[in-house]
Amino acid sequence: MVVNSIIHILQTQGNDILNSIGQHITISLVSLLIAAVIAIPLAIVLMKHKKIAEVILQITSVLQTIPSLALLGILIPIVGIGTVPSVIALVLYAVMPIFQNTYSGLTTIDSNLEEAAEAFGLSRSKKLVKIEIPLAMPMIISGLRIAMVMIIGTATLAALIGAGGLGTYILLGIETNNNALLIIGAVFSAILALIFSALIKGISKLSLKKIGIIFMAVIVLMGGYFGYKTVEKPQVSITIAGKMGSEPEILINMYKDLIENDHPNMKVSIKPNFGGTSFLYKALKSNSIDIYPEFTGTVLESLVKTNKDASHDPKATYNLAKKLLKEQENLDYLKPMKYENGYALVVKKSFAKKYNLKTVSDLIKVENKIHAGFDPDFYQLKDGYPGISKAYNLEFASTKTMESSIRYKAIANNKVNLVDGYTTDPQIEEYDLVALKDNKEFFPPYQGAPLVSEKLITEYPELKATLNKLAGKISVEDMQKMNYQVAVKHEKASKVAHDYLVSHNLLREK
Amino acid sequence: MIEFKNVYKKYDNNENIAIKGLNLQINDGDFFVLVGPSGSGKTTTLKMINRLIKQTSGEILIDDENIENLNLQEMRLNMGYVLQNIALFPNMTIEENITIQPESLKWTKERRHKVVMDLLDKVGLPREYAKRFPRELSGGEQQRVGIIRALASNPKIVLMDEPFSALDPISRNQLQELVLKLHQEMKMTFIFVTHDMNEALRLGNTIAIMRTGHLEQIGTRDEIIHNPKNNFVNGFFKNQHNDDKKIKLIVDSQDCQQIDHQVADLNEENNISDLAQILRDKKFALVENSEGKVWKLTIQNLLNYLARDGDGRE
Repeated sequence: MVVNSIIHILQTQGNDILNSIGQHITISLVSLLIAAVIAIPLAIVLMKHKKIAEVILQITSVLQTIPSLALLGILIPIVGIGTVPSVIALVLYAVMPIFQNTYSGLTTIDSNLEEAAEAFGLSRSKKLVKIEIPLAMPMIISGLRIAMVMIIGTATLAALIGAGGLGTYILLGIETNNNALLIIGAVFSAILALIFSALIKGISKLSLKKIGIIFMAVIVLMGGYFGYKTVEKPQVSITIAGKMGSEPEILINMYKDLIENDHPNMKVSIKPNFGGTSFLYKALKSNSIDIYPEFTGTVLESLVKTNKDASHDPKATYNLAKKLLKEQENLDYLKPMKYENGYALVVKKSFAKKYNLKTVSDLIKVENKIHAGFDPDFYQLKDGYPGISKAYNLEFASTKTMESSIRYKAIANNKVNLVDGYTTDPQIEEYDLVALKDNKEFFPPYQGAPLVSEKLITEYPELKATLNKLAGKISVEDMQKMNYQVAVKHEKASKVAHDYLVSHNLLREK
Repeated sequence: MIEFKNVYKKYDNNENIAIKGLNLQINDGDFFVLVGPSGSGKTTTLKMINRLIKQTSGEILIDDENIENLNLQEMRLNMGYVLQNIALFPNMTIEENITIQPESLKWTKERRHKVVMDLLDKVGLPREYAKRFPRELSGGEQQRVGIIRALASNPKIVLMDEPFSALDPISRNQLQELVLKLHQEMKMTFIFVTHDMNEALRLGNTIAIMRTGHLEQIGTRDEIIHNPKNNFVNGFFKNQHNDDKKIKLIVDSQDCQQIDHQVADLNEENNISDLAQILRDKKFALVENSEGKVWKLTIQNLLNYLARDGDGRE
C-alpha cells in the first residue's frame, strides 16, 4: 500500500521532488564549501598555536550542542527566513568536524617527516603544500565526509524555515503520519548522503592541484547560479507562509490566488510547510514574511500575554485576540473563516449510528462501553480530557494515551472506539469517522484568520478587502474534504484551493 | 670548515646541561664521526650545525661565518641531512623525494631528473625505482634513497644522524661501504653520528668521542686505538681490541643456539676477529668446543657481545 502511494506521489509530484532535491543539494554544498573555507585555513593557521586551537575546538563543540531548532529560532529575527539562516546554521554545525579533523591531521604528522622537511630548508608554504596537507589529506577528507553526511541530514530542517529541500517531505510525513512522504524524503536524502560521501572520497584520490581546480569550479558554478538566481528572481512584494500540513498550504494558496487576482501588479511568493508556530510568528514580526494564517485559540494560548481565562465563545475569542495582537505587537488580525479547527471527540460513523450519538452529551449513554485513545497532551491539558470529562460528567471504561499520529490508525483498526482529534482532520473522512458536536461549547474555539504585519496593511490597505473575502467562508466539511484531497489523495494544494475559490464564486475561472 | 667555539646547550625542562663548552673543528672534505653512548650530546651537536637545535651560548661558524647570520633556509638548502628513521615522504615518489632540495633551489626538470638517475646508478638501485613510492622499497633500499636525497643538491656538508641504527646488520654493512665510496667520490664533508664503535672506526677519518656533553677525545682512528686518553675511551673501544679475545667469551656469555651433527667452521679457542671475518660473508658461523658441541653464532650474537662489552663501562 505504501509502495503504491509512493509511486503515486512520485508520478504526481515528481517535479516538486526534483526541485526539493535540487534545493537540498544546493543548500548542502554551499554550506559544506563555506564550512570548509572557514575550517581548513583556520586549522592551518592554528596548527602551531595549540592553546588557541583548543579554545576554537571548544567553541565549535559548544555550537554543536545547540539544538538545530533553537539555532534556527535565534537566526530568524537576525537574518530572516529561507536559505540564508539554513546555510548559517549548517555551516556552524559543519565547522567542527572539518576543523577538528584537519587540525589533528596536521598536528599528528610523524615528527621525523616534519624534521626532515625543516632540515631540507623547505619554506613554510612549500612544507604545507608538498608535505603537511597531502599527509593530512585522509583526515581532512574524512572530516569533510562526516560534515557532508551531517549537513545532508540536518538540512532536512531547512524546510522548517522556508528553504525547502527534502525535509519538506520528511516533516510533512511525520506531521501527517504519511509514511509514503516520509520514505520519499528519507530515502532521497540517504541516497544524496551516499553519493556525496562517495564523490568526496573520489576527489581525495586526486592531486592537490586537481582538487583546487574542482574546488574553484564548484565555487564559480555556485556563484554563477546564485548570481543568476538574484538577477532572474522576480520582484516579490508579498510573502505568505503557512504551518506544516495540508490545511495551511491550501489556505495560503487561496490568499495568493485572491491577491494576484485582485492586484495583478503584486507578486506573491508562498512558503508552505514552514516550521512551528514560533518560527512563523518570529518571521512575521521581523518582516521576513507578510502574512500567515493563525488560529484564534493559538493566539491567546501562546502568542500574546493575557491573564483572562479562555472564552468559549468564538466571537469573543477572536475579538480579544485581535485587540491584544494590535496592542502588544502591532499586528493586524483579519476576519476569521467559518470553520473551527478545535479539539473534538471522534468516533466511527457506524458506532455513532448504532447508539444514535450526535453530541458529546450523548456519550453518557454509552460511557461504560467507551475505550478511548488520547494524544498525551490532550490527556493532560486542562482544556482536554480532564476538563471535558468534568464538564460533561463522563467516565469512560478505559483510556489510553498514544502518539497523535497513530491514534486514528487505532480507531480504524477497532483497538479503541473513541479518540481526540481536530475537527478538520482529513482522517475523519478517510476512516469514515465523525466528530461529535461540542454542545456545551467546552473546547476553546480555534478559528483561522490571516495574521498580517501592520506594515503591509498600511502600505496596501486594499489587501484587507481581498483577504476578508474568505471571512465566514469554508465550513468544517469543506475544509475536511480539501484536507482529504491534499493529504490523502495527494492532489496539488494550489489546484484544490483554486477549485474551491472558483466553485464558490470568489474567483473567476481563468 | 665548521667550528664550534665554547658552545653550551641547556634544555629548558632539564636540569642537566646537554653540551658543556664544546670546542671543535671539522675540516672540509673530512669524514667526521661523532660517537658516544646515549645522552652524550652527539645528536645535539649535529643538529646545532643546521640549527634544528639552537645553542644556549657560544658560536658555531661555517667558513668563518657565524651560522646565525646566514639565511636559515638558504643554509639548510645547501646541507644534506640523513635521518635515523629514514623519513622519506610517503606521499611522494622516490624521484620527488630525492629532488626535494633541487626543486626548492629551482633546478630545471631535466637537471633534476639527470641527478636522480645518476644517483640511483651510483647506489645500485634500478632506475625504475624513481617512479615508485617509499612503501614499495625495503628498509635498506629506503635508506639508500635517504642518503642520495641528502646528496642530490651536491651540498658541501652532509649531516647523518645514526642513519643505519634501524637497519639489519647486512644492510648496515652494505650501506657503510656505500657511504665510504660516496665520500671518496664526492669529496663532501660528512658528519656522522653513531653510538656504534665498529661503525665509527670503520667510517671515520676523524673520530670525536663524546660523553655527557663534552668531548672525551678527538683524533684519527689510529690515534684513538693506540693512545686512548683515559679509561672511558679505552672501555668504549675495548671491543675493538678483539685480537686476543676468544670466541668462547661469546659462547659463555649468552644463550647461543646449539645444533648437532654439523661440521664446524671454527673452534671456540679461535679469536673473535676470525668469527667477524666469517660473518661478513655468511649469515652464521658454526663453532665447536673441545667436547665436540657445536653452536650456531650469528652476527646478532657478535653484536650483543660487543655492545655489552663496549658500552662504556669502566
